[in-house]
Amino acid sequence: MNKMLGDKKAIFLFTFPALALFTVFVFYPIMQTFYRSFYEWDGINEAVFSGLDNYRELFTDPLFYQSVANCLIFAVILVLFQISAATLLTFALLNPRIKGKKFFRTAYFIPVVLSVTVVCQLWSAIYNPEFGLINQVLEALGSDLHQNWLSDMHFAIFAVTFVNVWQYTGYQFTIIYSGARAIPEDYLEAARIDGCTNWKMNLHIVLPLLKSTFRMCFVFAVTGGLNAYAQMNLLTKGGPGTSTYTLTYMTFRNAFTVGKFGYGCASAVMLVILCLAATVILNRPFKDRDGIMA
Amino acid sequence: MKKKIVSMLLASAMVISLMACGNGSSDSETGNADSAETEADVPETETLDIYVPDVPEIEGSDAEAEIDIWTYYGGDNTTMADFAVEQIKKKFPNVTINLEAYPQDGGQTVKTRAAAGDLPDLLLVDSGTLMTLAKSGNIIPIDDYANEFNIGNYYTDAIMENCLVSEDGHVYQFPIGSISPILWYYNSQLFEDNNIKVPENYEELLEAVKQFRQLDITPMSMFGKEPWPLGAFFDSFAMKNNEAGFYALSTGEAKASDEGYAEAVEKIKELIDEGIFQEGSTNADFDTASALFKSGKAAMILDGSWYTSEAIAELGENLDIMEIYPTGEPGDTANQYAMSGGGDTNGMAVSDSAEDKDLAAEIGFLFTYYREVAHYETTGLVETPLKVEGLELDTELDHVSAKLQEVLPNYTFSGKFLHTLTNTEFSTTFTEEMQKFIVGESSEDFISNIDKCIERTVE
Repeated sequence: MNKMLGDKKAIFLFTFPALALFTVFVFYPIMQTFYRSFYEWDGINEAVFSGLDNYRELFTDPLFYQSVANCLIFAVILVLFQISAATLLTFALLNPRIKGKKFFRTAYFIPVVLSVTVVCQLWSAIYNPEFGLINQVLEALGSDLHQNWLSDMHFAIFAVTFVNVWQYTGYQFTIIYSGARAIPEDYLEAARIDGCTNWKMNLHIVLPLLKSTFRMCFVFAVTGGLNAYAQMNLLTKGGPGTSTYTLTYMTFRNAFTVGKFGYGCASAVMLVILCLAATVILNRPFKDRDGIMA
Repeated sequence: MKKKIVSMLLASAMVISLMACGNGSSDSETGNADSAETEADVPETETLDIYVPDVPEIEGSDAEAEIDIWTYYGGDNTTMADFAVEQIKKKFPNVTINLEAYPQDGGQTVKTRAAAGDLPDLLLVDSGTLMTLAKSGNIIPIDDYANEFNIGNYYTDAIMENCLVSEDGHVYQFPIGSISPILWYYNSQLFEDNNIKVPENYEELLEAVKQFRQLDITPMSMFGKEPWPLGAFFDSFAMKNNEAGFYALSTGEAKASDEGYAEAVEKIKELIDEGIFQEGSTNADFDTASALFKSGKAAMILDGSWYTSEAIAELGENLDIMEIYPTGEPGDTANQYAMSGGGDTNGMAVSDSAEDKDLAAEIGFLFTYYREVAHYETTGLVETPLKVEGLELDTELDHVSAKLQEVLPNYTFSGKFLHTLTNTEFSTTFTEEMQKFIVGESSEDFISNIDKCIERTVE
């Protein structure tokens, strides 16, 4: 009995601080956002209850659908490029013949530790249509592919997304590589003894054993894409026009620029719902035949 | 035991280093007047012959106090703010004035801090933020202080009539800044060297744009990342038909599909198609656009009259201004002196949370006054909001300011800056539509979208 009580005290002591922080800084603000989404509020004066008006306005606002579309584009590109690149880099570094693995591991991770402001300034210069590196190289090669990277209504979202891909591929690589390194060496050695090539070993042994790692990476990439904001704000301010708006940027615009905090909260609630839905959908393919999560 | 002691020491070292970082960053963000005077590389100001405002003594003004002021700080503004603080300390030697740089983000930080109850004693406001803060009681009306200090003795009639009283009939701010026209600056050397006529009307402007493009020179550099230059550019054309420009659209008094506005839109479209701006202009910030102009890669730039001292430092005699916008028809003088920009209810407001409101109000007035004295005397600001008798210029007026001084009395200001419109949804949407227009949207779509925005946002 004493042992059980003692354990409960220990449980409380060790979990309470984290739970308290989570409640105060995450749970309570989400509940407040949901509550405020039913009000017309300018952020300072008294809020006026407006029921579902904000949601009605949201579902008839073309900017909402454009923002959601951009979020999905962002998420898909992150998944495709970040996880593929990170996986291929992992396979390369798992090869025992590759030298300088420490150097490569560090080099891939350097962009992750850079400030997002610094990265966006860097890429803003690279994307400059007149003096930027990309267009200068294309001109030097005699190519006609010279672009207005950040001022093209259709292309800007891809250009902005690529900045995130470049910066955080190292992060995904670190997770996948750590997962791969945790695979018992016996399995890989047995495969080599049986005459398995590196490629087949990676495909049939490493990849399946990384299922739970990939689940986490997919969730990070998709929710990161849905939440995208920093690159939009720093590179294009959501422009040209509204072509690089995401739901987060739309929330910021409605709340802080236009001064309609209630409406901004409504778009934030939709973002939360979208992220939850994405997490549930992503978890399905990673369950095994018995319905147990990888 | 040893491990526990080492762990505790390591944890303490981490906490102490974090505290040191926090103190370091807050010092670098705020401009404490005492440290600014010793640390900043501020040019020496000579003892100026200034007209000392006659303000009443405040009870207890000898007592020690701290006043926090949120103001423009950085570049030339540092000199002006530090001068103001220096003069105030002569009257209030025991008052410490802490300056904090005002973030120019369209009022977002102001509103956030107001909601958090974290406003300084004195803060900059403009028409975009003023009424929101006034209605919520975050700033106090200063009608009584304005009368007590007789501010009409120090500010021009134009400021008193146009930039003082808010829409609810009260005064909330001591005026800062002037009635500044948005000017079209140009590099006269570039025009001369390439035998291109400095345009005086739309036809000549279109021809100049085509000629500069053929020479691979950007006709006009634009910092389209900020909202107001796009609005000012639009007004340069729209004001020929309606002096209020986009301001009339924002209040529903006019529509984009009205004949005059539609004509202006077509002209802008034609110029955009001919490549008036540099590539990536919707993404360019002020520094990028200014660098293009000052380095001779762009022939023109649009900016407020405050840009003169910065541009002339680089271009010297090659800098000039167009007295009127070259956007009308040849020979048509209607509204030729209608200018974008102008004045705004912009200035230093007293926060409701100020401990000593009397002291804060007096320091607020003195700060704004002395700041404008420094502005006039060091930069020769011809559109100063102050009555200038008794003030002396440090140097002779430069040729651009002298030209502006001659034409300024003719100018009329019926518009507003885009970021100061009270219809914030219109101003946000208008900026977005202008960006789309610059990158290829059709004039029909632009007009239609603006009209839809007016219907949606004007009650």
